[in-house]
Amino acid sequence: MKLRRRLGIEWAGVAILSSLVVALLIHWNSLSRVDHLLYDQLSGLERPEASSEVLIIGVDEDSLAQFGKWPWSRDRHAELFRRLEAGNPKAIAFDIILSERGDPKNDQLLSDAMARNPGLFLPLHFVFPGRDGAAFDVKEPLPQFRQVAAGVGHVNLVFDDDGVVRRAALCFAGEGERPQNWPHLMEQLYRHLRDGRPSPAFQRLDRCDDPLLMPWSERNSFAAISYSSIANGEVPPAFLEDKVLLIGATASGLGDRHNVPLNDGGSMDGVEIMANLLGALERDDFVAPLAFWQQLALSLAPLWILLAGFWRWRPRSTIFISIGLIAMVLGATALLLAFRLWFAPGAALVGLALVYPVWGWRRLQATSDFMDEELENFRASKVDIPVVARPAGPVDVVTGQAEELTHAISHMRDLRRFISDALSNLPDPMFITDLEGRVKFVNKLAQIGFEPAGKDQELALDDMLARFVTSGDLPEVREYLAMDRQSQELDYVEFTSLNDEVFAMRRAQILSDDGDLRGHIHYLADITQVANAAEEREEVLQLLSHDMRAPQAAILALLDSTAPSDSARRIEEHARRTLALADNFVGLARIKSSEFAGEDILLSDLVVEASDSLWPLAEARKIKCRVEDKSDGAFIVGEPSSLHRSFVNLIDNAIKYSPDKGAINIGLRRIDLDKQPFVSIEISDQGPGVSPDMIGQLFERFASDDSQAQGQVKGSGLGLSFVAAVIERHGGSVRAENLRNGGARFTVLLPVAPDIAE
Amino acid sequence: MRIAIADDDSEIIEFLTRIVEGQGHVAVGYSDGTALTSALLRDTFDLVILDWNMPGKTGIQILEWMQDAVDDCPPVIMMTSRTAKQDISDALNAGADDYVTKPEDPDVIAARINAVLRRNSGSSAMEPSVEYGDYKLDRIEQKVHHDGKEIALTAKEFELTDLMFRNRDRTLSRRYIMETVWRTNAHLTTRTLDMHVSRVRSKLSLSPENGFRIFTVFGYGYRLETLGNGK
Repeated sequence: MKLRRRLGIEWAGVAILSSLVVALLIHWNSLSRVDHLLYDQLSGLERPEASSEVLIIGVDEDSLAQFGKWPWSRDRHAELFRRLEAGNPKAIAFDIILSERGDPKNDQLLSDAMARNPGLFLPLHFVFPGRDGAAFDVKEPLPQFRQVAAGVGHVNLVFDDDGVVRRAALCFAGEGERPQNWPHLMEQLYRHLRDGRPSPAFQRLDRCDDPLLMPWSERNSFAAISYSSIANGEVPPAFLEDKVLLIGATASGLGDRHNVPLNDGGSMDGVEIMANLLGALERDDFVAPLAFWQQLALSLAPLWILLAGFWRWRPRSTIFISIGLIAMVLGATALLLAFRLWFAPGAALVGLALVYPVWGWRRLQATSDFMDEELENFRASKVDIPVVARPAGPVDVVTGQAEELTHAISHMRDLRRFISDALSNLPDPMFITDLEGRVKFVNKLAQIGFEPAGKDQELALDDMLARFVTSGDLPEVREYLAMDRQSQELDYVEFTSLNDEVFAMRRAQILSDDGDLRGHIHYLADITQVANAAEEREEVLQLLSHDMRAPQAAILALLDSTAPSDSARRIEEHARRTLALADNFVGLARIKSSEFAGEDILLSDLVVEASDSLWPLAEARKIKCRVEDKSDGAFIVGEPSSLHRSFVNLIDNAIKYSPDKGAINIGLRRIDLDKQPFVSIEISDQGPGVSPDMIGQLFERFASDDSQAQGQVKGSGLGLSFVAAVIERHGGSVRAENLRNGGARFTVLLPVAPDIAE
Repeated sequence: MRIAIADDDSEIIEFLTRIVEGQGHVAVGYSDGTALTSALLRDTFDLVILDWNMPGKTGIQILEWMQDAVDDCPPVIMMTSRTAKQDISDALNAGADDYVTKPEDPDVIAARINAVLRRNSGSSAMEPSVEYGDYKLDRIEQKVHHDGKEIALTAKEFELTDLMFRNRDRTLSRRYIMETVWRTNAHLTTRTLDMHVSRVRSKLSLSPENGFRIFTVFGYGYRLETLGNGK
């Protein structure tokens, strides 16, 4: 599996899993401890001022010391209320339970004292579980107190799972057959101070008992005085004027102390908690937690930023970015809190903290597997140069792999160096191009007049060619390079360089291990000398072919106008011999220097035409030339001109050695040799035959059996060697023999062309 | 008819002039290519006999120049000592009407000149019956008689025979023959044409003894040549 794909899968796995974990953590609120801790720390950054309107009157240690052990007789409280009455406070919350009967006289005293304080509120409490299967019982103050109070309210506290009071429920909702809501004592107080209007926070609630996160003022920031100071009349009544009085137990022995989210981790008196709640109601600055989906979105956003970054950032920067993101989450949480919004960052932080090591682990695993696989492949491939033994030692798996990789890379470097050295030291110029036609490597191109522009500069192949190929040859070279040459890999192109040297350029494919085309390698071979030699030879052949033939043609033309005579006839004979010599010589030279270019030839017609073309010669000596064709329309693959000339030479030879009025028989027939079809052509004459000592070397160059020639005829010796060369070139054979009853027979065998679909 | 002869060899010009004048035409000789081209711009000729290798301009260059520069371009016979198969087909494909390799028999040259002039005068009306030497072609019955004997031919063979006789001494390209006789050259291999030519050759006994021979111009086509009494 390719590393890229494997890492993609791993990444997707990590992304999905981490997102799921974050979502579930939020859903189950599993990280409340962490969130509480953070909330406590962050909310400590900014604390509200305590209201100067509120005055706490605490039953403190001094009061207990003065008035004796708790609970006190109710006439003590009656005494207090009489003192308070003189001060005319705005409202009073008396956070002391009055649900049990006491001494009737004292109760009456208290009730009377209370009645003279108009804004007095009393707590009620609940007993869980209630009697007769009810969820709870309501314990209201005794009717005689209840009647004189402006209202009652609950004083239940809401504890979080760590036992800390962070929130408050603005009412207590009854259940069952008689659902009834009891507003909180402080809500009642608020309403009293605001002419009976419920607090805005209360109005916003869907369910009135949903607890609200409240901000806390610093401990002891509310004004407080001792119960005993009031009771003893040490405080002037004016001090109490227009105050809101909260009366409750503050002595540590009385048990009304609870943990609150202040950084010092300490507890707070119930009555001070109430003061805080009242402050929050008045300021209306409760903290609203974000909805689930908002939590989710805010928690996933930094996670996905990090996940996306895994693809782009180096691992080293990723760790810093992770830390940065954590800081950003905390910063955002603090910022939101300043706007009274609470984002629980625990899940987001856990996500950020976990995803980095998990991804690191998966990436390492994938990379390790990949290295294993690649190293396995590398070991399996052929190693071409000596390898240095690698150091062994106990290391962990990945380190081992990394070492092997280093080793493999250094081996590759050696190989590259080796290849580069090998290419640089090649005797001929070459260069390498990639698939986009850019030149990646050049070697010794200077010797063909090409100066590389500079080491760093990458040349386009086309520009490069223009620098050393003459403009005349450029189109041909480009055409060669543009060819799709899957089929004809052996082809090459010739061009002349600007230095007037001739090169043959050949292109080969560079394939990857998987067989994909990666580029091309271009070899240049200096063929200047060969090309010059070929050119010179061609010039000689031109000279022979044209410049030697032309005067002979002129001689024959001249003879045509002269009166026939014996010497004219002999001059014509010599001129024709010179022509034949030139033709055979040029023909022989050409077939040795050119490639075979065969075409379909109907052999019988070729032989008939060769015979026909010699008819004037034969006719002059009354020699009959008969062609007997049993070749059954056989075609051969051949070069018509040279084959024609070969049969002309053979028949001309037969005529030359035939007696006047003789007969020449030419027979064609099909035969099979080794199951391969051939055509045999036999040319028999009635001449003296070939002398036995010549018969073996008849087809060698310049061999001629002139001793047997009739009269003036003479052979140059090139005629038959031309025949032998041509027939051999066609995959056939030619031989000569003497017939029993006199005369010579030349037999040519030529392979039949394969049938083609008509 | 006026015939221009261009050759750098004065012997050849004389030789050709004799042949041309022997046929009752007028010959004008030029010893180099430049002289010929300037004459062609001022003068009118019915035929140009052109040597390949000449000082000034080569035959092929003049041939190409003529097709651009001369209005109502006269037919051209290329005549040279070059024998390569490629040279011959190059000349014919470049627009020459015929090609003669030097040296050649005066009778043959005369016949080839006649063939080119005959075609350009456009005189060959389709007679119902026509005789060439000992051969008599009956175009209505599509039959050929040789020395009074009837020779059985297929329709295509007769058409091929007729085409070659009508254009005797003229080099016909394979493509021309295929398109004239078969009306197409699709689905027709060169072997088909070779076989038909071969059958016509043997059925009609077209041999020098009978005054005719079929000559293959390699890489180009065929020519039916008249010899001696075949005229």
